[in-house]
Amino acid sequence: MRLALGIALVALALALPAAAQQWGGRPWHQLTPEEQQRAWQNYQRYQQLPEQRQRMIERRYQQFQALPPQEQQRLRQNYDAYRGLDPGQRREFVEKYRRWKSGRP
Amino acid sequence: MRCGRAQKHMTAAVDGELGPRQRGALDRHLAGCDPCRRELAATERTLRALDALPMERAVSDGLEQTTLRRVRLAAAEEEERAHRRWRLWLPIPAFAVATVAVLVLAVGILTRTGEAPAPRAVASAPLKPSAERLARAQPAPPTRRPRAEARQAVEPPAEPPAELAAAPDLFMNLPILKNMERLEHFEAIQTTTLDDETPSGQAEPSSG
Amino acid sequence: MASATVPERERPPRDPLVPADEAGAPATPGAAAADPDVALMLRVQEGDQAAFQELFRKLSPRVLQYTRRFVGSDALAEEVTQDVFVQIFRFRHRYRPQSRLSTWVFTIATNLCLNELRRPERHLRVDLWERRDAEERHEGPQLPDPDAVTPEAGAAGRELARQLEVAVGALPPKQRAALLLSRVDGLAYRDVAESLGCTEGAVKALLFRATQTLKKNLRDFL
Repeated sequence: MRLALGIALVALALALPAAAQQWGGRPWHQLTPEEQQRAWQNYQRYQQLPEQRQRMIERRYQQFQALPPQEQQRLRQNYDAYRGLDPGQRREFVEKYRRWKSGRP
Repeated sequence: MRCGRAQKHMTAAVDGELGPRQRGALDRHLAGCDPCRRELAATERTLRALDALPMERAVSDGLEQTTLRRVRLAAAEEEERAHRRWRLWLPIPAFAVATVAVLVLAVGILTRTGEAPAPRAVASAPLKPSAERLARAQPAPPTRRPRAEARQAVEPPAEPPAELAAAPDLFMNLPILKNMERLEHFEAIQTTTLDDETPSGQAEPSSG
Repeated sequence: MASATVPERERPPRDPLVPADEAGAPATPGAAAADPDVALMLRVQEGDQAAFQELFRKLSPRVLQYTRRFVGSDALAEEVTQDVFVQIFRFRHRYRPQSRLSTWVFTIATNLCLNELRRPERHLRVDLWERRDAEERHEGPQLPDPDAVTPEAGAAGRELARQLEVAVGALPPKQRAALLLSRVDGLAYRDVAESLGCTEGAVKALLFRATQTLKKNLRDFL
């Protein structure tokens, strides 16, 4: 019996994943389930992008991280506002964006 | 020492990399050769000018963060490989080991209490023709389970891929990063007028 | 007749136990351990993450300048610099404290730079990528101009520096590598030879040819 229990304990110990060491940043397991889900879905989308686009996103990530916190928050709020647009408003926004861009130097 | 050989030694001489014997020979040649002395001076000016260039370049926070993120990813990949090697020490998956352990426990308990499976219950089960039994044992043909597949894609794995685990905030903010320019100039874009709009924002009535 | 003595550049003192013509000879372990960079690297080998970040901050400005002069492009230099430090991490256990850390680090940097120069298509991709990024340019935090010269430097000095950078960038890759390595603080010719995987004699030949080219191209400025 003691032997059986000992084997069970060893097996359980082997079945447990090794504790992960973190190299800075917010560890995965500290994200909320919603955050993990969102990150996972976006990760899958990111994998579908061509390499050049992935590199561009990484550079933008560098720039985003370098922004002051209030500026990062402003972008998040704008994104929320953008998501709140109905389909017609979004089409109009895209048109305006193209017009705005064509007028830039 | 001739001029050709003397000139070949000049860079090393200015850098202090010439052995004493060769340096002495060069010095003796220079004592009697004006062109080589001028050439040496030019070599020295060139190397001094090079040494005067800045040897360092400012490293942006972004470069540091990207580098550290890649290193975190490499560290996570190392741990994943080490974890897999550890699991490979066992010829069977860990959950199977746990199952075996449970069975061992169960057998241990059963043999202590002296109970044995009732042979009569087994023997009383009618023997079906093997083909019929096989047919019944066949799994149902696979049906399309789009909901289950979609659930699988939506639910993150228990152990995320190394790249995701190393920088989850990149992927959480992916939509913002993809639309960064639009979001940075959101207000300006919103106030841009389109050609067929009057300044008040209403479309002009069409003619005809 | 008085003999003309050759003015010498300040070089790091040679280890008295090491003959001048013996390339790659190990320094004494005690000397290496006294080097703070080596001590940092030993902590990195033990898994100290803070030590790695400190090492990055110490070495990256020099590495970035080196790669920038080597590959000739800001974006590529940043990517190669990242690659250098990722390699330093990945192969951290291969570093032996008997050799100078600079030698090891700049060996990695040189190999990665030479690899990049052998890939002409990489230049094209980077150019396209930079062009596309420029099209989608948005306001971001401005970085200080690393090439900014102090106010005291005259216009002539600035022009000389600019011409030098151009001339160095035009050298054949191996000559460029030898020249840039020889200017890295603390590297002797034998360290350059170790980095390039050649003899000290070959390094001297590379430097001679490189210097001749620079003197010829910069005669009007020197």
